[in-house]
Amino acid sequence: MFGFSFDSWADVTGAMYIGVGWEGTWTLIAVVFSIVILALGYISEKEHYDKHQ
Amino acid sequence: MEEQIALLAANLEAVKQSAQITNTQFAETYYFLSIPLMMLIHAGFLAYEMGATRLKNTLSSGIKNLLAFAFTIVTFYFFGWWFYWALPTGFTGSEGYMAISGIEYANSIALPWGDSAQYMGPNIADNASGVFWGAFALFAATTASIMSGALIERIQTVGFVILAIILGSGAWIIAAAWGWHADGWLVTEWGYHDFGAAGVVHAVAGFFALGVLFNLGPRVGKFNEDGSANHIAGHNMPLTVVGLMLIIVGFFGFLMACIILPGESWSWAETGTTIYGTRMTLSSLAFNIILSVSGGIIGAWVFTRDPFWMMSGALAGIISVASGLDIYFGSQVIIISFIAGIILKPCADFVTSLGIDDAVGAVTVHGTIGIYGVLMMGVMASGYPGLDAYAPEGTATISFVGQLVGSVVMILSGLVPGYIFSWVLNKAGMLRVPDAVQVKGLDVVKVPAQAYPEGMTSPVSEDA
Repeated sequence: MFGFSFDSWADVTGAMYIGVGWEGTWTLIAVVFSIVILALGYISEKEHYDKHQ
Repeated sequence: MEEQIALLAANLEAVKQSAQITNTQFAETYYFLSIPLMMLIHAGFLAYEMGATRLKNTLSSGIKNLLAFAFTIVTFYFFGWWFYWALPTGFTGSEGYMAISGIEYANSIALPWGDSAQYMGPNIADNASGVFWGAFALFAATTASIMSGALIERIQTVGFVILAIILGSGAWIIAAAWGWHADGWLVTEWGYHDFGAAGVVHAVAGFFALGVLFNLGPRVGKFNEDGSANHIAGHNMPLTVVGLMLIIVGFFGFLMACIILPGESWSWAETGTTIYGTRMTLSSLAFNIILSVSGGIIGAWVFTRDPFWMMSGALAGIISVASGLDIYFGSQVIIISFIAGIILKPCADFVTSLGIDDAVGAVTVHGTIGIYGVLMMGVMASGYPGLDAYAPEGTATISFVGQLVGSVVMILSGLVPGYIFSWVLNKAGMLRVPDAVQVKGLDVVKVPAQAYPEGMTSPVSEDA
């Protein structure tokens, strides 16, 4: 999940980021993070409005 | 002699390789630097929107604006970029003539998973994808910021963020695929020409905002029982006006990023071109941006004598000629942008007379003037080639009818999703801030900070 696509910088010819082969997993985690944060944001916002109704 | 020729050939090849490296680095740097320039648009929208807000809502307007930017960028990475490459020929997702479109092509370059992920992160062999994505992501965030100002002081933050995502990573980029891509069906079939995105960015965002406003309703106190409107002044006109000027500065980055540079594998021609492959130069932008800003300011000054509307006129000036910044003559730009400045305030007043509370005139500045700009392009440039390099036989030329069809598509691309999704959010109770909270002020209710803790009257936060 944290692997590289090369052993030495001299071997780099293309993608050079951490986690080659696991991009989908990382993206899924980021998507879930975003949705959860938005949901928590909504709950917090609603609580503030309800308190002042 | 042969040895000398061989040496000369080798040297020539080395020089060519060196020149190519320089060209590639220049192109990458060019687009990269357009991105921070475009960030100034958001600095401008932030200042503009906060200044146009009453003191009690200043920080909540800022939060809304910042989140619109952030969530649009993130979701544009997840899926917005994919729409641009997948849908130019329509919702069928088929491949276009240039073979740079369609679902299969988009799957290979524009998704952050699978094989295409190599183009969505650091890649030593790819100097283009990141900077192009970055420029488009900033275009996307601009659409969300355009909508943002119209809705201030009564829209819920998360509801607004959801709408920003739908606009910034959905509605506008699909319209851009159709009208701002060499394989776009509006371009190939109707000759639609919109170099600086008067339609695909401004009109779509302006009419999306209008669709939301229908469901959102006005701020408490905006309209009287007899239907007459009250002017709700923002708390800081100088901040608003400076913000508008920052947006103008950022537009230079926005528009320079619309040029396809020569000399790369993805270039259209041996000169700079538009996104449609038609020839153009940065010099044309230098003439026409500055002249359109000036024309808009002068036009707005005629009737309003109000710095807010004069700077809005500057924005309207650019938008009014954005479709043809690549080919308009300077004096034509002055006339078109001058008229845009003149009609701006009456058009905004008309929107208000319909009972719509567009707090900063965004529907007019971006929506109405965007459509005016697209149509003026049809009036002025009918008969010009719509595409250039590699255009398929029978490709439509620029025409008024083509621009009219494009205008209708842009209006609907904004208005329909804006109305539908805001209607759903309204039914879910996620759209409008309760009236009691509006009266009290949004900052005091939900922001754990104070805008002006010293020297100005500002309600103390109850959430600190």
